[in-house]
Amino acid sequence: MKLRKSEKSPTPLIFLAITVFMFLILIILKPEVFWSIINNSIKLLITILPSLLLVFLLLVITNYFITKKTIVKHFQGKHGWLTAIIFGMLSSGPIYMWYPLLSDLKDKGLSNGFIATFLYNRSIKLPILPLMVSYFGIVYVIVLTLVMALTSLLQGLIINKITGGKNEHSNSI
Amino acid sequence: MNKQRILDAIAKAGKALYMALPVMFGVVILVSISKVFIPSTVYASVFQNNLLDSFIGSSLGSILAGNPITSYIIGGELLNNGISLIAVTAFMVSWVTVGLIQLPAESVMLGKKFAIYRNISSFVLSIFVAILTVFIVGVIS
Repeated sequence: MKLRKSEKSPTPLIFLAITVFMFLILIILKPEVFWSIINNSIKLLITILPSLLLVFLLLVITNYFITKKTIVKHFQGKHGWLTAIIFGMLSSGPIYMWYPLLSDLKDKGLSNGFIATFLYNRSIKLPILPLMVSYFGIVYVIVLTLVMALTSLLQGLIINKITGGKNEHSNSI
Repeated sequence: MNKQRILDAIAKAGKALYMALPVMFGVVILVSISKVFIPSTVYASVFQNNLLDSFIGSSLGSILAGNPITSYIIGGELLNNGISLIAVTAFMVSWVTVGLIQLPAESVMLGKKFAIYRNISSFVLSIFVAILTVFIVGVIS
């Protein structure tokens, strides 16, 4: 599989290299903190890694069922707001990957409000919520997810109001 | 079930996690270093546990960017250091909803006015979401 330019970005590796370099400098200057940092890192990883397995499984499921084609098809239905919320939550990949599709849909009459709601819900990543649960608890995560989903509607309406986003074609999309 | 689609879905998921792992490991090391070198009194001096906390949390989350997983790890550690849940929530919500780094790309693709108003409203709404969420959780618990 050929990677796109953005997917080949070395930034994550550079970030890790800088962090490891910082760690090495610190243990040279203060060797007594070595085990404290290692112990803290192991504790954190033990908290995170089991959730990542579930995250992987959920990512596979959403990748299988949700494609760009599915999203376009449902935006063209009657329930635009609901589509924006649900597919915003289920869509995967970096946000900039979706700009061309959204730009195209906008040209075809999709309102700014729908786009804002879709983008807001992209911040709710259902597959990685298990990790959030491990830190904050199930009640908090459910409440936050629901509040964010409702707030996304509010933002959609605000953006429509400010930008006059609902154009004459948007009823059909 | 289409076998090729399943393999594609697995490959895509694997790639997404593979891309996130270096940053995640980097953040784990940074958080561990900060735990050793930054006493919790420093956090307490920045966050005073009042409404201003949510504003500070949102501002920090807006400037910083990255995978939501990273914000959960940092948020969890901030909470362990005694930072209020409102501030931590505002931080995590603005981290994922405000995209200052993507703003130029968003402006080009979706319009300057749209991008600016979306990001400003996301910032304001992150404070609203934080306060409302913590209030509801408080009532339920």
